[in-house]
Amino acid sequence: MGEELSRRKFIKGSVLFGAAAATTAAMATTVGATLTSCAPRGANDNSGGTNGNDRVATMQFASGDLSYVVHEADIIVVGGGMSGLNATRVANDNGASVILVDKGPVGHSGNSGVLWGQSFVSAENNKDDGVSIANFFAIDCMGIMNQEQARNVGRAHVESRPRIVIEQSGNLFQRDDDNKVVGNDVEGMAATHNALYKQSAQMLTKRGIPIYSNMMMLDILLDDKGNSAGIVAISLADGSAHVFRGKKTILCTGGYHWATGKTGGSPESTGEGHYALLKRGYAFKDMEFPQYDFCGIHPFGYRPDKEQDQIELAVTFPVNGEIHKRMLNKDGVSYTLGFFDDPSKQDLSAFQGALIATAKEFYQNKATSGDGSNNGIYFNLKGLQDEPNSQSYPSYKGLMRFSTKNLNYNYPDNLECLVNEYSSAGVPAQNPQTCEHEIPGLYPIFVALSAGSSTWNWGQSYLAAKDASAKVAEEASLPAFSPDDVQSALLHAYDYLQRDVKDGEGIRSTEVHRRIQRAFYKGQDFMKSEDGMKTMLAELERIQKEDLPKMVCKDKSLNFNRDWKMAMEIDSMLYCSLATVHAAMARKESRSPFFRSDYPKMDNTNFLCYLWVSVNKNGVWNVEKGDVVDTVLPRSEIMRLLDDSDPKYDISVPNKSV
Amino acid sequence: MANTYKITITHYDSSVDLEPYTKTYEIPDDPDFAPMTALKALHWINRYHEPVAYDYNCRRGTCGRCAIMIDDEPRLACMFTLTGNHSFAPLSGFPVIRDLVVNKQEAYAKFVVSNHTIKTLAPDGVLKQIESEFWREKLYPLNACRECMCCYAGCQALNIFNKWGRFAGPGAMQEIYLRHIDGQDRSNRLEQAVFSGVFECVQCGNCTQYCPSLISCSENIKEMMDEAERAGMKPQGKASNYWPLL
Ligand SMILES: Cc1cc2nc3c(=O)[nH]c(=O)nc-3n(C[C@H](O)[C@H](O)[C@H](O)COP(=O)(O)OP(=O)(O)OC[C@H]3O[C@@H](n4cnc5c(N)ncnc54)[C@H](O)[C@@H]3O)c2cc1C
Ligand code: SF4
Ligand code: SF4
Ligand code: FES
Repeated sequence: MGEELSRRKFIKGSVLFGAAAATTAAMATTVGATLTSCAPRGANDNSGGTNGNDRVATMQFASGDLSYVVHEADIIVVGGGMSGLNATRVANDNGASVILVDKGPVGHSGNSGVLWGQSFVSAENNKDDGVSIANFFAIDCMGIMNQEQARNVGRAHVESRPRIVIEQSGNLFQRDDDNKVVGNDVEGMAATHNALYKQSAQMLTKRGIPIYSNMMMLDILLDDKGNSAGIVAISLADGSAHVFRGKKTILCTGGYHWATGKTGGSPESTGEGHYALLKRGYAFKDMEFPQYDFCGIHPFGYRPDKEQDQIELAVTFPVNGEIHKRMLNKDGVSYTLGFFDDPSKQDLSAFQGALIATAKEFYQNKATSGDGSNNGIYFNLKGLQDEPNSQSYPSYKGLMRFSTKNLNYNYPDNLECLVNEYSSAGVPAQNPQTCEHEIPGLYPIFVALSAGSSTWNWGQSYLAAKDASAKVAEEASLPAFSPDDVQSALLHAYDYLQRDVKDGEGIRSTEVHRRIQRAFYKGQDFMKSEDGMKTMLAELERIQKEDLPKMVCKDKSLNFNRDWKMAMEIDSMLYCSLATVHAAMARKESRSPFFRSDYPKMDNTNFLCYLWVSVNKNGVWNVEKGDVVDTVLPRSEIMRLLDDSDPKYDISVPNKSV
Repeated sequence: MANTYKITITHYDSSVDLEPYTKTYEIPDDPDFAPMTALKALHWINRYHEPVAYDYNCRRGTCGRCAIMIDDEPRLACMFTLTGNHSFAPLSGFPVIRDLVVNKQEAYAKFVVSNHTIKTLAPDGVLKQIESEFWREKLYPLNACRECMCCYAGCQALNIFNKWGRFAGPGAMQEIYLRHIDGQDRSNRLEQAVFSGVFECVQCGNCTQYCPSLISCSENIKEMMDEAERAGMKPQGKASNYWPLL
């Protein structure tokens, strides 16, 4: 037996991990030294321990005040959710060397890690060169969709065949009562359920691709001509500093919805990808559009009105398929059916229709108020276990079974659920064919509007990786980054650890984090108004001016320091929140999923357009209108199909009773 | 305010501490937060007492990141309702990085080498039919394993009989089992199970007991053992001789 057993056997966790031995006091000077003694890999590391790809050069030490390790590859993928894993796989398939970097443990992080059996909408059976997909998105996103991009997503699906790839890589999609996979197949869009992403993570690990888990990107890096050169990052596991240098960078950092404070999504989603572009003055569209879902607030659901550090939720009910009929208002009345009563007008998905119907209930003060925030509804769970095993029902049944068993909890007939943001929208201008940004060599893969789904992620990440890997084959040398940029990003990050708490003066980063969230969910509630948004803006500006200079970390460790992580997330949360509120104040209408009590009507004449929000060097925010890219479904046709004089879209008009 | 809970946490920071130590915290049983889960308790302690390192993502039992030892049993913190005073410690059998955060790499590597994701299905591009009930009752839970490592922390073959070097462990065995029964994979997964040490399992049943995904882990392993034995694949001699090593 010997050492091995006593090491393993020790139940109470006295096992030592021989990694970083740097103490906080010596931090600034020993960071470099720390690195030589430990492999620069994240702790819950899912990399399988090999560096595999021998075209990747790692472990060069650069000069400078703070030491950091430089890792090189053709392509750097930042973010290991569905998008990042797909981009990594495609780049690797195409022969490019690629490194994957993620803030959490790959396979378990981001929104993809939250999901358990998500509905995957695939367009691989599409037969009309992406036209029907573009049409679908154009209408389902209430007109505000870059149709050229949507069409290319459809083409990407046909080319890459996501469902086949997902199942072949070990996943097992849901089989319905008729033993078949496909839930529905409307115009070449097939919704398939139970797609998981852990298999993709295993598969990439198996391929030997270098994966750096628990590695947080601080900023992107550019060369002197303004081309993308890679990223600078900090290991959350041991505090070490790293540069990932590549010819192309694919930014798959997900959303910024953790800032919303009322989310069923991931705490990793704090928007560093968005921030890197926002702070350089690039404009984003769709920032004002939330991405909603409904989460059970009991038995252990979240309470945004309480001084709780984080939020908890029970089961999520993505309103796909016909589950919307189980949504009830505070009086126990089912209210969505009236919305869908006219077959000739059922051009909206169940999801969008259910949201508009819900907004109408809220407008009439028919929301439940169990948590004090007056923005809940009930889900009628009676007989849910007897529903057919199609659509998402098996997932709901499964989740309920798991929480019943694990928590000894029995669900009530009517479960109170809160509207919450499962994801966030917001995209910069990018090439519709390749997803490349104005910064050459940079590919941001974020979500546009209500396309906040795997459909979009898969298509976009495929297009980006395909383009990037074709280009790197032609390029001989790696771009040079500026060591000064690296130094300033690192100094900014390490400074948080060194700041002193003066009695009664410092504000802990966890608290600043929460203040941003609180401002956000109050100002950007399901039902918005000018007053609420003004309050939100004022509070965000106050936090920026007064709280940020006083922000401190109570925890000073370099190892898994939550305070430090939160401090490093603050700038991006703040910028994303500010961009959101500026765009939201400018949209003076209600266009699902964006609802205002002071402007309950949809207004195509003035607002069937993008709102581009940006900030200049002096911190002044600007919002500009932009024309919708309507290359497939012309604007006039959108105005006809989404007729803003139809009371259906006016949330001040009550739902029809059935 | 009614009662309080006393939570004892094992702390250890490899960058400053020589030895782990425990500390006990009191948290209120506030009806506004009821029922208090272990994860909520951690948020509370981190916020109102002092910093604790712990990991989580989903808050609803799906990401598999919050597994810790609660009263010496592996549990998902977000899926555990407090009932009184409890002790929280890092997942047993894994090297500790800090406090409740452990390095899961060795166990994860076993999932990866199970070749679960290399399905030797003929690439004919068709998603095959699977009998609905079979999918629901057998395959769905297996598919939904979240790599939480609770079964590894509780496994006697690994931790009492020290078979880390010879046994893929309960979780990776479920992946082999899934490929074995899914009716699509064309490799000999039973043979793989034998070479991955299926006969090292001592059938203690802990994996089934602790699996939050309700996977019948030990039963599935037993099924493969029996099948392999019937096929004459059970190794003779050493591999089946267990000697408690302590
Ligand atoms: C409860 C819930 C239900 C959902 N249901 C569905 C559904 O049924 N169907 C559907 O299609 N979609 C659904 N979604 C949407 C889902 O989020 C997306 O489809 C998809 O998972 C997003 O993938 P992603 O890779 O773009 O982002 P994510 O999965 O969020 O990945 C982003 C990654 O970037 C990493 N990252 C972030 N910041 C940094 C940084 N600074 N440095 C390094 N790495 C960083 C994160 O750790 C994370 O791994 C749901 C989401 C939630 C939360
Ligand atoms: S039944 Fe076998 S595999 Fe499961 S925990 Fe016990 S020894 Fe380990
Ligand atoms: S089999 Fe169960 S206990 Fe083991 S890792 Fe998977 S989900 Fe966790
Ligand atoms: S937080 Fe995801 S399983 Fe507990």
